[in-house]
Formats: sequence, C-alpha cells, structure tokens
Amino acid sequence: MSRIGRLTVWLCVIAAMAITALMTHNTRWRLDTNLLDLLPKNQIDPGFSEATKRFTQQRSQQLIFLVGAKRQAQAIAAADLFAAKLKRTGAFNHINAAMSEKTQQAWGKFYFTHRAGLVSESDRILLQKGERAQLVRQALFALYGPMSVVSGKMLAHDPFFLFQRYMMSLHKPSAKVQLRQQHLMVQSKGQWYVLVTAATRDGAFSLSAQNLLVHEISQSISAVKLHWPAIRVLRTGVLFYAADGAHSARADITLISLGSIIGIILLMVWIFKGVGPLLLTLFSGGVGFVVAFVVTSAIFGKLFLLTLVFGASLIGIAVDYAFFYLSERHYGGVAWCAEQGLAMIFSGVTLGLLNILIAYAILLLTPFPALKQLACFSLVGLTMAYLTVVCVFPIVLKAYPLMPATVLERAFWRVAVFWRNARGRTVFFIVLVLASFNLVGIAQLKVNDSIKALQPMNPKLRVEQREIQKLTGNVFGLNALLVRAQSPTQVLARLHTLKEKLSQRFSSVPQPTMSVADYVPTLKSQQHAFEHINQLLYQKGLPAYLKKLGFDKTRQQVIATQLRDAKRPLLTLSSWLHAPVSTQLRFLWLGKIGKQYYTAMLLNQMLPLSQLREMINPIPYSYLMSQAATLSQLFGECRVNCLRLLGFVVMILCIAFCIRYGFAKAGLVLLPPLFGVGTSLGMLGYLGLPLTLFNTLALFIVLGIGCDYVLFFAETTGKPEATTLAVALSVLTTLLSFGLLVVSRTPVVALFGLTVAVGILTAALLAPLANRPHRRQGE
Amino acid sequence: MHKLTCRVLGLLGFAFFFMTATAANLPSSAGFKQVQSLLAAQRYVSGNFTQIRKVTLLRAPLVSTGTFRLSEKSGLIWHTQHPIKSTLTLSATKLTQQIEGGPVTVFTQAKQPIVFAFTKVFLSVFQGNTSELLKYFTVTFTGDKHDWHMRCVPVMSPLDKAIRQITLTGANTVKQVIIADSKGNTQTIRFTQVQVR
Repeated sequence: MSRIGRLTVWLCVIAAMAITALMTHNTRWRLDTNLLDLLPKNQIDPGFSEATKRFTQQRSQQLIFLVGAKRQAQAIAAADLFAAKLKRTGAFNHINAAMSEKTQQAWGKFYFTHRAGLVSESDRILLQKGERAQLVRQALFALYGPMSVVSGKMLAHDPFFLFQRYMMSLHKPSAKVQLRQQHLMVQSKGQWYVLVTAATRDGAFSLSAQNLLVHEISQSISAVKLHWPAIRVLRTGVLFYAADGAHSARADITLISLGSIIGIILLMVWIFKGVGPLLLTLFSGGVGFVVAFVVTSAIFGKLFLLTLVFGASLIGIAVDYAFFYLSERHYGGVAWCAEQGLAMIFSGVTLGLLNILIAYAILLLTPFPALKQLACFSLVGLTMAYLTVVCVFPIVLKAYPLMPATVLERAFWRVAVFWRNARGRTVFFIVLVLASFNLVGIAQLKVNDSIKALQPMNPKLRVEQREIQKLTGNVFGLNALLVRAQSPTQVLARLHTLKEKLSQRFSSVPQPTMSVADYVPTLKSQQHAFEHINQLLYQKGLPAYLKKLGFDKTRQQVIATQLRDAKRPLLTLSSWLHAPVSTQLRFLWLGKIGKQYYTAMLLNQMLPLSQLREMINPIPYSYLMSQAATLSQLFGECRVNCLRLLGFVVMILCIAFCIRYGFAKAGLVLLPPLFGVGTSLGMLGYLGLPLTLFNTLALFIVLGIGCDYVLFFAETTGKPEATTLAVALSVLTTLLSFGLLVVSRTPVVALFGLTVAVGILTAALLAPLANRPHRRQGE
Repeated sequence: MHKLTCRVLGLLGFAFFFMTATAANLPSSAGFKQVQSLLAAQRYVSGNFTQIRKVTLLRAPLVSTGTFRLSEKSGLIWHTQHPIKSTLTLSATKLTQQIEGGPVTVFTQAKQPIVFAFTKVFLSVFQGNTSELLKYFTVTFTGDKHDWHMRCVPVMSPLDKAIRQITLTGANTVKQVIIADSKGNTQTIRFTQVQVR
C-alpha cells in the first residue's frame, strides 16, 4: 500500500472513532467503582444479582456521623449546626440529627394505632397457650411494681400492659444509643456523642459528584470546628471508602501518566536532540489511549477503575513502535529513507503487535467483565498506536545526519555486545544461574486473593468505622441475606421463618439478625394474637379485672365495650414502609425485581460465615450476600484463570516462534520474555510478597513487552544499534512509569509496578540474545 | 402513647431517690452537704416499703408493701409481698423479674436495649456521679440533716415530658419519695425500719 493509501486508512479510522465519540458523548461515561460489576454475570442468579446491586446502592446512600463534645449541650449544638450545613448542600434525601417531639409522638402514635395484634414474643407464647392467669399476674406486677408509670387512660386502652411490653421488646439498630434532649446520643469516656444519620439523594455517583459531596461534608465539619474547635466528628459510610479508593486510584493514574510522559520527554529530547520525535511519540501513544477510551466506553458503557489504571500504563507499550522507527532513522544518517526504514522494522513491530493482540484476545474470552474490558482497551489502544506509526510516521519522518552516541546508547550497546560475543558456555551458565535463582524464589511464592489485600481500605476510615460501631453498639456487618418471594406478604413470612431459624441456630448471639420482620409481624400472626387477646382477656372476666384495678362500674362497661368491639387496623408492611417510623430502615426493602419482591436482612458480624453459608445455600429463596468473601473467591478464580491463560499464551508463542525461527533459535528468542516473567515471580517470592490477580495481569505486560523486545531484535534487518536504542528507550520509559507505581498508596498497585519493573528490566537485559544465532550464522 | 419512655423514666425516677441525695451538689447549704455525705456513705441499705399509686380514673389508690435491699454489689432487689408476691432485681445491664415463684424472666441490655434506655443515667446516679446527675435535674434543698426535703425537677427531654417532679423527704435516711408525673398520677413510696451499713 502506498504512503497516501495508508494515511487514508488511518484517517478513516480516526474519523470513524470521532463519529463514535460524538454519538455516545450524550450518555455521559461513568467510572465504575462497584466491585460487584467485576463478577461474571452468570455467576449468580440474575434476580439476586440485581437485588445485591440495589441493596448495595441503597446502603451506600447511608451515612453515619457521631458529633462528640465534652458537654452535652455543646454536642447537640454542634450536631444541629452540622446537620444544617449538610442540608444546605441539597445532596441528601434526609438528615436526622434531632428527633422532634412531634416525630417521637408520630412514632408512638403509629404503633399505638396498629396495636390490635402487636404483642411481644413472650406474650405471644402465653396467649397461644391460653395462660390467662400468668398474663394477669404480669399485669399486676407491672401495676404494683416500682418501675412502671401507670396512668388511667393508658390502663383503659391497654389494661394488660401488652402494648407496653411490645414496645419494650422492639429492636434497636444501635443498642447503646439513647434519646436525650430530642437527640440520639451516646455517652462514653467523658464525651457526649450525637448520632447524625443521612441518606444521600443519589446512589450511583459519578466520580466528580462523589468527590464534591465528600468535600462538602468535610467543609461542613470544618465549619462546625470553627465554632467549637474541640468537637470530634466521626464518620462512616460506603461513600467515604469509595471516594478514598477513587482518589488514590486517580493519584496513581496521574502519577503513572505524568511519570511516563516526563520520562519520555526527557529521554527523547536527550537522545534525538529535538522535539519533533517527542511529539510524534506522544501523538502515537495519545491516539492509542484516546481511541481505546472512546471505543471501550462505547462498548461497555462505563469504565472500571482497573481499566483506567491499566490503560494509563498502556502508553508505555504503545510508544515502543514509535521508538523502534525513530531509532531506525537515528542510525540511518542522511541517506535514510522513510519507506525503507519502515520496511526494516515492519515485521518486527507487526509481529510485536500480533503477539500482544493474541495475548489480549485470549483475555477477551474470559467471563470476567473487567478482564474483557481491559483486553478491549489494550487491543484497541495498541492497534491504533501501531497504525499511527505505520501510516502517519512515514509521511512526516525525514532523514537527518548521524549524531554522537549518548551514554545511554553506549551502555545498552555494551550489554548487546556482551551477549553477541559471549561464548555459548557463558550464556548457558548465566541462564542456569538465573533459572535456579528464579525457581528458588518461585518456590517461596505465596498467593493472596483476599479482597482486603486487593483493595485495602484506608486504615483511618476503618478505625473511625470501628469506633462508631463500638460507641453505638451496632453489631451488624457488611454481610446480609437477601430474601425473595412472589408477594410482599410471602417475603415477610419467609423473613420470619429465617429470623427464627437463625436465632435458634445461633442462640448465643444476642441479636443475630435485623430486618423488617423485627418491626412488622405477619398479618396472620397479628390476626391470631388479636383473636387470642379477645377470647382470653377481653371476652372473659374483663369487668371483674377492671373492677379489681379500681375502675367504677360505668367505666368498666365503657372500657370493656371499647376493647371488645374495636375494629382496629393491623400493621401492614406497606403502612410501615410508608410511615416515618421506617425512615432509617427503609433501605432494607428492595421492592420488586422482575416478578418477585426482595428484601435484605442484616447479619450480626459475630455469625460465622461458613456455618451461615451451610444453612442458607440449600434455601432457594435466600441468598447470602458476602461481598468480601465473594470477591476474594472471584479474584482467586480470576487469578487462576489468568495464570492458565498465561501458560496457554506461552504455549502458542512457543509454537509460533518455532514455526518462524526453527527450534534452536525459538529457544533463545523465548528466553528473555520467559525470564522476565520468571524473575518477577522469583522476586515476589524472595521479598515475601504475594501473587495476586493484579500482578498476574502484570505478568501479561511483562510477557508482551518482553516479546516485543526479542521480536525487534530477531526481526530487524537494520542496524542492531538501532534496535538496542529502541529497547533502551522503551525499557527506561516503562521503568519510569511502572517504577513510579511502586510508591503507590495502594499496596496492590505498588506490587503491580514492582512486578512489571523487575520483569521488563530482566527481559530487556536478556533481549539481545534473540539476535545471537542470527549473527553467528551471518559470520 | 409514651408508655415506653414513661416506664423507663419511672425506673429512673425510682432509682433516683436513693442516690440523688448523695449526688446532687447544686444546693450549697451546709445541710445539703451533710445529707449528701451522709447518704453517700450508705453502701448497703435495706428495709420495708409501702408504695401508694394514685392513678387518675381509678377510685382507690393501688397499694403494695414489701421489702427492699440496695447494695453497690448486687444493685437493687425489690420484694413485693402484697398484693402480688414478686421480686425485681436491677443492675446496670441486667433486669430480672419473678412473679409468684414462677420462672425468672431476664432482660439484658444486648437483647432488649430499650428496657435499659436509662441504665447509663441510673449507673451514674448509682455511682454518685454528681456532674452527670445535674444534667437531668434541678435540685432544691430545704431543711437540715434531721429533717429535710429535696425537690428534683427534670431539666431535659424526654424526662420532663413524663415526670413533673420528684420529692424526697428524710432524716438520716430517706423516709419518703413522691414521684409526680405530668398526667396527674402520683407514686408515693414510704420506707420504714431502714437499716444502713
């Protein structure tokens, strides 16, 4: 194809991409920080999958704050100010700092109105057994006991104290929180804390909205501290973790991008003594990145953070093709011709690209959305970078005179010369030493798939979360049960069944579960209770009992008639869900998904997960949602899959290389990339660092770039000095970018950087081996 | 509608009368201070009680009698002899009740947190934590250590919604406590044959 033809192809591709970008730009692209989306779609039942998503989202809207001060009044004033500041942001559905008397009354009134069938668990049993005498004794105990406050009106409505006992038996999400001065408060170690809860308006955050909100919350806290410097504000919520994770990931992306770009700039200006080559290189890398971004967003809708981090590192590979071409020209002198130069490197870069395409195409076949996205991003990005070099560079590159070699060129050239001149025995010896060194390291390698290691939570946030849980007495962890049924009524019935089962199985745990069932009995059981009360207490001997209490005759009759004939509404799920009493617990109800209704049941964090799993797995209508465990398992599977694929890729490479180079040379060509991978693994083993999904992915990069290097050496028909320079430039830029990752705040990203850096350096130092037999034959 | 809170407040009100005097330090009279230190030294108190509950709409007051024991170690034990034989014990995190020799019902803070809504206040009262107590009541003291009255008015919600005032009368021990609620009901407890160790 002619130069103009190639340029036309390139322009067409770019135009197509621009149109795609324009067409999809309305659906604003989102960054996906939800780890659950990494799950293969067919792994769990679609209904439960959606319910999990909904619940995670609803829970992630919940924020909890504790505003603490030495003096109670100060804590209250600070909490009120804080709540007012939060309200002003307009980002919240509700903010609860104070609980007005009106609200308290509304709560009491709500249950009072629906009291007809509401009884405590122990009373329910007594009623079922027909233990009238015991119920009367209990009432008298309350009546004559020192602790009850009794009023005539209350006795007229509830002469047997059934409703009072029901209210006392109601669960509280946070056992240690008490109502004081119309605020929910905790007192601990000389500090008063006011509980402030809030629910954000929006569950799904764009990265910027998330940051803005966290910023606004921080500002609200600062504003409160401006008034009272000694105020403590503790906070927790999924939002903070997400924002923190995104923040550190973004910092990493910035670091790696800036690192590679600055590294590239400095290197290129130094070696090529001009900005032209630099601009061309950045152009090829930039085109690759932008197009990859556009295409991946268009296909997947939203991008994983993982993809972006990985994608940023792609620049490092994408510029290799440019380096190769530019180095070729660098050593070509004034007689150099762009077309001939391209011909020299064409098979090298093309095979290099093909080899990486194969590797990523295989990743594309895995069921894991994240890997697919990553593979798509890499495939598109690298192809575009390659096309840019092949199609655009020949038009703009012109010959220039030879320049004196820099220190860098001489140093790398010395390595290349060493391999070229080394005797076969020396090479064999070095390979043997390196191989055994690697094997000893690999033997010590440990594996870690824990999500905690992969996405470590900011320890400061964790400490705050624990402190809040400890102070408020909230015992519920991140695990939850999802329950579904054809109708809300059935959901409620199933919840009650599960609640009972769990409290029997884990009787030593004070409050094993929390769900809607703790507040709403089934209509059936309310109906039963109502009938029992009527038969046992209201129809028989009521006047005598009322007389014993001391009501006069007319009152006895009025009360008895009232109690017997009352047509009171039972407590229904929907009335509870729509009443203010459920404001803070409504997120447990997930509504209708498909044809079924779903709800979530919180689990005490003391419950052993394995036993829970054993119990829940056989029940088809419930699903144990344990993010950490599920994700750890997922990452484990993903890692094993990746390792297998890596092995598969190596096998394919072996075959391909054997076909192209013959058995003997294929061995030498394969050595550098394989040793790159081996040394990375060995180094991890020696340093006691774990093998995770992330550094397994890093091995793909090592293998890919390592193969690029050997292919450049093996395929070049030009000067080996040019290839050496290209590899030197590539390895230095890669080291600069990935080497910088080592300082990342996220250990897993640091591990990723270390793996790539060690592997690439090894592969680069060994790469000239690929040139060896070829040269010998030529001699 | 606030029976739940009311009951809890009742608990507080009751617990209060034994310990407040040891705690409240607001009134600065010498008599008050004497009473304060006198009661603070009483680590173990026992005796008989008569409780008279006057409830609106009821023709006659509800009267009960029995014995009580209060110690730092085991908290409060309240034996009602008449009209219904029953025992109630109360400590910081545990409440038990037994009616006419039946099974003992136990409430713990972990399982029934609402029952213990005011345990914390109760405890601070129990421990003679004066600074704590003054957050809940305004205390007016009259008399001297041979014959004194103490009027306690709750200052904070939701306490003030349920209790209007608590009046304590005593000499070297508490003789009588009257808890008046905001709805016109009163609970009077008289103590006789009180022994102190």
